[in-house]
Amino acid sequence: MKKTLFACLFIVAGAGVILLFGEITELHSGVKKLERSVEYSVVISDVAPLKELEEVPVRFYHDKHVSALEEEGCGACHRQDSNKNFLFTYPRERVETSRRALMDSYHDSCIGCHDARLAEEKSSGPVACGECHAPKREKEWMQPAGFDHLLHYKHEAGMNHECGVCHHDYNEKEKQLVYQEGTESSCRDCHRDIGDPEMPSFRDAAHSGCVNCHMNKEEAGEKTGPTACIGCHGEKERRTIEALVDVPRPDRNQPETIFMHSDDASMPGVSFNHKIHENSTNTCRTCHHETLNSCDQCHTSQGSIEGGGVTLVDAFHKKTSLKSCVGCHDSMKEEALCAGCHSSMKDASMSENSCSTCHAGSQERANIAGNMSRQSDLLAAMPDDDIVINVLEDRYEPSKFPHSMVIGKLLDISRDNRLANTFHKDELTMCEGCHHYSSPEHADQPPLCRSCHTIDFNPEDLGKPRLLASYHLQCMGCHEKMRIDAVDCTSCHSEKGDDMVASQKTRVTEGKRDSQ
Amino acid sequence: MDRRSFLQMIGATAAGVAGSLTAPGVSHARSKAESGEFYGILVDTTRCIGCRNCEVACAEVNGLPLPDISDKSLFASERQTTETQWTVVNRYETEKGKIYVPKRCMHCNQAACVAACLVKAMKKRKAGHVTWDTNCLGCRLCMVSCPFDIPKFEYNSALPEIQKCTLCWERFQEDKIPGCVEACPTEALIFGTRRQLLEEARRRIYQNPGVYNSHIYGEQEAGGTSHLYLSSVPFDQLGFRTDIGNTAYSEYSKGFLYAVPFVFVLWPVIMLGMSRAIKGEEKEISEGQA
Amino acid sequence: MEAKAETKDIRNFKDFLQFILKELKPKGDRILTPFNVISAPVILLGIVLIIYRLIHGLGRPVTNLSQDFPWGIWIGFDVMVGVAFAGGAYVVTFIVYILKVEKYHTIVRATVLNGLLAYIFYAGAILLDCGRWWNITNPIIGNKFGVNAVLFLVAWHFLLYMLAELIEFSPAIAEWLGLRRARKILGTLTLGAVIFGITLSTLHQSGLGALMMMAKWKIHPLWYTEFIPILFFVSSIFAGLSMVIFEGTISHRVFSHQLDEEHSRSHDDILVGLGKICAVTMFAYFFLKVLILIHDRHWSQLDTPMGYWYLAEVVGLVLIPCFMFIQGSRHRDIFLIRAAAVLTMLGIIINRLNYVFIAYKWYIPLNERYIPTWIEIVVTLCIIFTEIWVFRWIVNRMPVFRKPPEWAAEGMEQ
Repeated sequence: MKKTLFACLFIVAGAGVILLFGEITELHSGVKKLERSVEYSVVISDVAPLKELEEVPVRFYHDKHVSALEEEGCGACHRQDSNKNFLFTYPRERVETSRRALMDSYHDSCIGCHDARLAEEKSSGPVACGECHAPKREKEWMQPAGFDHLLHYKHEAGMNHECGVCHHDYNEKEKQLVYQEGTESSCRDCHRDIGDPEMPSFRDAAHSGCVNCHMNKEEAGEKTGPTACIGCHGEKERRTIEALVDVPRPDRNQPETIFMHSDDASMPGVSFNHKIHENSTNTCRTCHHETLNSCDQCHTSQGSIEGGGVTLVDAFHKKTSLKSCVGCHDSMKEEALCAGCHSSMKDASMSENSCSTCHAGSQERANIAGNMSRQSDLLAAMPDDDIVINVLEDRYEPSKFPHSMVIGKLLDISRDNRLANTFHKDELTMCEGCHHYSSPEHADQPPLCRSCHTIDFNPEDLGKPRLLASYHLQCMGCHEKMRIDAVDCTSCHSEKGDDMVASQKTRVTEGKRDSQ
Repeated sequence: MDRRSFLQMIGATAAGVAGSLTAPGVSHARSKAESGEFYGILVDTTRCIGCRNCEVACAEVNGLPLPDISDKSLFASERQTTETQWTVVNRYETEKGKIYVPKRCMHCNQAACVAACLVKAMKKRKAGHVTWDTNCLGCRLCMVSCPFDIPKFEYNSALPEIQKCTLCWERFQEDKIPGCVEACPTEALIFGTRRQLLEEARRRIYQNPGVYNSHIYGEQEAGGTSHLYLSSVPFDQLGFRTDIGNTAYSEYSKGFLYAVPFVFVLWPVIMLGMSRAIKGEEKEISEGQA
Repeated sequence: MEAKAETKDIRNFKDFLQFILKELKPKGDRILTPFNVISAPVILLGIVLIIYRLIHGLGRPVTNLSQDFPWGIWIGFDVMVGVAFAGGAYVVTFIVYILKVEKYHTIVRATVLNGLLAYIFYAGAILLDCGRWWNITNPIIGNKFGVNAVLFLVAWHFLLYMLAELIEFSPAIAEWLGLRRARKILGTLTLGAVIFGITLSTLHQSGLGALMMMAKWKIHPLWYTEFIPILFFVSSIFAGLSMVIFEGTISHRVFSHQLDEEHSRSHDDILVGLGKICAVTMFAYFFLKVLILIHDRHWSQLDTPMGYWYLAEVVGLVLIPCFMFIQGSRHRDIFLIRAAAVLTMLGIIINRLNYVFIAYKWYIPLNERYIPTWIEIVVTLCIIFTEIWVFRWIVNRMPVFRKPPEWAAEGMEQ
């Protein structure tokens, strides 16, 4: 009797151990399995009333739900309004009165449905906390949808220029949407990040507006836009400004040029070419970030609540804001063509000439025609010889630097770029790209690199690279920033003679022998 | 001609050309070491070009087998340092493209390996170098303890040693900078006191807005390390452990060590007391019965 | 055979030498017992392999240790588990010499001997595992004292504890050699050695756990806690006692001819008593585990494969044997107590191995994980078998299970 019991016990224990080892094996292989089955999931984030989250945010697989609930349709999860249009909020019975209520409404809807489907033996989802609230490391794929000029134009053309299909106003008395021509504005003008019962949030308005229309058209068999998440939010190549040049801009009777001036300001006014700037951005919102009104409606000289406390001066000059003139122009320095020189001159401040470039005080259209002449005096004065750099002479042949060719190229770039042409008034400005910290006045005899950059590493002056490093940082940095190939050793220095290569190779084979 | 003598030569030539151009060198290093400041290396990963010259220099300086740096296929997988390669350069695909990261011993301020060693074979030198000595038992607790998995053991040797980067301790005593720093063509590695390096790192972050991730890896990690890293992307994209914590690893066993003297004093006293008390009790019982 | 020790008096060195030589010869009726047939070749092979390891080093094919897994079964099983199993000695001596519970007096010598041999052999396995074993005396002779290191403390405690156990066991040796005066003196040292030994045990049992403290993120969060030292200490109590139950059960059969009536009679009582102590400490241990789990808020990890493994250890190999001990001691079911002891020992093995290489770096895929080589296993078996041989040799000669000679009986009281 005892012996049988004993035996049974051991068998059970043994089986348990084997099973557990199985589990562990699964754990290790499981990591890979997960990666393979990554689907497009969205992080549930419309839970602002929850404020602080107790649990890991849930990654929600919308596409999976769409295909699993094909029969039931969107109505399984989303509410419809009186016009049978879906309100793409979740859950159907969303209650935001309290933290607890919102949490419950989510949990009741998700788990309730999963439970019910389990009972009906239909495909279902998780019901335990940790299955949804689990940290998952998935690559974030979701992008802001973005609605550029081309998309706008396509919609415009598709609706036969009936702007009222999308653009509307709200008549508070009659509590209905009305459209009045000429008042079209940006959606976000009214629909803000957080909505209220009267005014849906931008997110809700956009989803119900766009997706319902697309779905209705799809049902009617018309050509239309996407209905799945990835259609609008997928990673797509941002259309370059060049690609949009020929697209007709939204026409709202905006002026071609504006003379911007303020009576409070002591600076002369700025003549602003609105039309050129339209062609330099993807959407109006690049500058008109909230409404389509003019800047000084919100941004006053003293700052106001409507303007978020941002004064008029800052609205135009704040270097860190891409919505300001200076900030946007400054960011252009990071473009491949400009970054070669500008990335090493980041800390250079605006010069005394900078203000007058814009603040010309004239109502006439700003003169943006080339300041630089086609015929370069600088290049003509430059010796044509290559400059030989021989710091790494032990392993490689000296590097030949085609000085005048480089300058010619940089001058060409500068001439062809409207913005550069406006600000680089003098050809000598271009020298500063490489010959930093030396004044253009001494352009004819700039200091040698090694006058400042020492041969040996200097621990006392960590900010200043030694000569070897400064060459590499300067040359390769510029090549990399301007996306010019040749960052390989041999593309600048040809490798030294055979004996050198041979000796390196023998050293390598000896090394390998040592390691064995 | 090796690189060093070449550089000296170039230095001499340059001095001839430019007049009185002197190379400062690191002759101040030893006097500074006495001041008790830790030295270290700042790695600016935005500057590293993955040339692996540091690997070669490390091997040359420490008498290790020379790696074949022409083999770019090695970048396909993440490499760890080994007993014969104290520094390795890895390549990571990040949101900002390919980034190269040299990896070697972090030389922690309060190193776990040093705290773990029962014969002080692992030692934190005054100038910050964490070095290994031959009185080691080979117990490998340093490997278990190291949060960066750096000490490597020569398993295939009857007379095995622990191998790791020494921050070129021997060269430091000769007033030379570490081999890898000297070899780096872009000065992605710079050598100096930890304080100077942190200053320089902060200067770079501050003066290049948008370029760097504002975190300096090693400033706080594991209680601070002599090896510091700058990066343009979050460090978890570069194979760094970001859950190391800011507590020095030696702190984790401190609680236990603090309890030792208490147990050592209290236990014998309590037990002796118990023993006496019970003995007395027994006697009383037996006397009572008698 | 029994009369020998009493009649023999050793007067000079020549006598002593003769005596030792005579005692070195094997005893027992049969040499070709199943145990001998299995163990002898393993021991011989093991010795060859140990020599090979010393010549070759630790790398493959000797061990599967790697840069990722510096510790394998020689540390994880031989040292960590071996020392935990040897914990019975300090618990039993505490019960007998401090709490003066005479019931357990009969098992003291076997337990102490077992503990002593465990330390000599299993802890001695450190020598094999140390890459630079010739330096093993460095922390003792002061080729740098790493006084701030946990391992330094553990090393010294191992050494001192072996001395303490030797002193605790020395009366048996004196009785064997017939050294009456020495027996008397050694007997008086016992209480001191016991108190010293318990103090040392407390510290190095927990110290072994403290070794893992700095492997903070390498150990799975379910196992890593700042209370590892306390868990190691508490678990060493029931690990040691389970070993005493297990070893007692086997010795009881193997050496039954040496046991006196009193010993046999009390055996069941003792097992029931030990079972009770195990049950209580295991419950305390389980409670601690739960407390730590709740405190560290890692319960979401429970529903992962490593979580199941954790539950198997904590529920299957702690809580269940704990209930088995309770049931066994309540109903005097010796079989259940023995089964519980076996499960408990299995639990301790798994627990210690978890810390050393299973839950250690759990994130490393299976094909890069440490799995012991056959050489590591054979050497481990060799060490265990040798220990059993030495144990048997001593038991057959010294009064371990046997009653001590009458001349020594009065000394026993102290």
